[in-house]
Amino acid sequence: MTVKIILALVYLAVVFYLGYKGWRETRQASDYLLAGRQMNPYVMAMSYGATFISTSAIIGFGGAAALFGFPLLWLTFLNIFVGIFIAMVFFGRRTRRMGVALDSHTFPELLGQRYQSRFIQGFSGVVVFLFIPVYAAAVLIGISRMLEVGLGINYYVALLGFVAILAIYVITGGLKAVMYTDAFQGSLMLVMMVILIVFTYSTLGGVTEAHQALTDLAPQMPANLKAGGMLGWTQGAKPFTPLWLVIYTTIIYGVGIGVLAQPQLAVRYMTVASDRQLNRAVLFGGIFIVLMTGVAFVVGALSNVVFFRALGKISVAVAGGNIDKIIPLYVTKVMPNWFEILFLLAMFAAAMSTLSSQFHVGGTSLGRDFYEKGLGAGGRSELRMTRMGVGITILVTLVWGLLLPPSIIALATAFFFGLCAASFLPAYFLGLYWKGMTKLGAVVSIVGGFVTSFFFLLFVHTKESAAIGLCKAVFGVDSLAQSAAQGSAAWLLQFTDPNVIALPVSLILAVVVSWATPKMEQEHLRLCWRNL
Amino acid sequence: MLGIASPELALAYVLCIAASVLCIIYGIIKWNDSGPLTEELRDLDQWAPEHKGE
Repeated sequence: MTVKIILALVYLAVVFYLGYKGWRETRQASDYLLAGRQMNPYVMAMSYGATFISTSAIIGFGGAAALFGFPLLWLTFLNIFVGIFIAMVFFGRRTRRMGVALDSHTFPELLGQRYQSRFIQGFSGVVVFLFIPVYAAAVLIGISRMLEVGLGINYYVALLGFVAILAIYVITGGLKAVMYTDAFQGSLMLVMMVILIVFTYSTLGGVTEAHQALTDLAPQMPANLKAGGMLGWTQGAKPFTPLWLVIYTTIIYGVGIGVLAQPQLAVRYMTVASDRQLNRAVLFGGIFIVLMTGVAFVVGALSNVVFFRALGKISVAVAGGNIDKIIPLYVTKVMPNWFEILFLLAMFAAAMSTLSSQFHVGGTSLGRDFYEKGLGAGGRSELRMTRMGVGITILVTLVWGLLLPPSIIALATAFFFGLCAASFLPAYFLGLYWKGMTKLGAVVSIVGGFVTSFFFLLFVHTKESAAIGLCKAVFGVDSLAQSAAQGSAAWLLQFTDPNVIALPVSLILAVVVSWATPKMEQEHLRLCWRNL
Repeated sequence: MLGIASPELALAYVLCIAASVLCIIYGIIKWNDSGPLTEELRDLDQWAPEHKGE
């Protein structure tokens, strides 16, 4: 235990040093909001990756891979191909160049200025500010529970201590502090995951041997999963069964595509000085993500073989039905003792890097986008308002952290990803590529996508609607889709990710309304496209 | 293939590695392709019309 605490203190000392370095180099608003637009490509890529990958991606989704197996590798493929390649090459470069042309400092500001709409900036800022604390609280609850188990620290002390540490360097150091610490934390995560995959494959006798052993384990698949459509861990699920829909629409499509419209990720494209940093970040990011979700999903699935050989039970049985415990149990029971410390620190790192960026983007959304620009209440001390926004975001997150149950983690992540994709993705993408996109088209698309997604989350998609309880209170059922004939398309909607409906709705609204409304002024479009 | 029963999931495994390799190759080929610097893009502001927000 003493060694664990000493190493945790060394880790915190490095984080504080990097936070201090960020604070020392922060002089003006562009430093605080965009790291001075001069960020190194390795730092940018690692920060993007470490923000993208939180503890829930490794522990929550790794546990889901122990349950569902290799179909989750499609999510890793999308994480790399869409989340890194498409994002940096097709979104990143244009976002940076248009961001400079319009002098945008945040993601909502880019949307607001592209469409000359204070409403869009204010509304987007409010959406981000209202919902990011719930997502952040989910990450906070997860890491505080882990500190409680790993270091024996009281849960509430862990929660408050964690928030206090983050508050110090995010409020003072802004995005520079966030990105420097992210890069260190991402590097630590990388080392941990490389050891985890090498150890697992070598324990099982090699890559093909390990996969074959998992294939042969199919008869051990629990009966309830088989009833839901699962065939085996490397066999996948029967198409259009409830579990197939959960895996392919919520986990793979929802999270895989949702990444493109995450404000805390998109803002990073604007932190670099040229396309060169983005090009290099593609290389670093491609390696980072395959070693994060790729390793977590493969190890999660293979943990079934390791546990079955050692204990005669598959992972979910070893974890007593709680899939969030599978990866931590695998580390404790299977990996060498020294690895446990590295894993704990890497999980600190994963949580801190995601939380710091969530606090920063929540604060800038409240301070700059909603208060200053949306309400037009900006004064001379814009940096102070943004810092206050970060402080308020942290406080709201803390309140949610104290109120929400631990089971909320995966739910809150899916909720935020879904809302962002449905609200922002069509307006963001078309805003970068289509001059015919109009202000009204963007407004209707953003509001329409938000409302559709929110409706499905509250009243149709059972996973969220049952947990929130509003549908039950109003209509007496967990989901409106439950009243449809069993097996029909309407009935299957309760298992289908809201974005399968909301994102196309948002896209259609954007295109149809833009076609039907007057184009934006040529002079403004020339300004937007000046650097492209 | 690779001990994975479903060809579709074996494809997913291979595509993960292929996508990562694509990112590496793209990064190497474009390593020094900088495009205009932020400062150069900003310099254009001097002649650009002031037209931001409502």
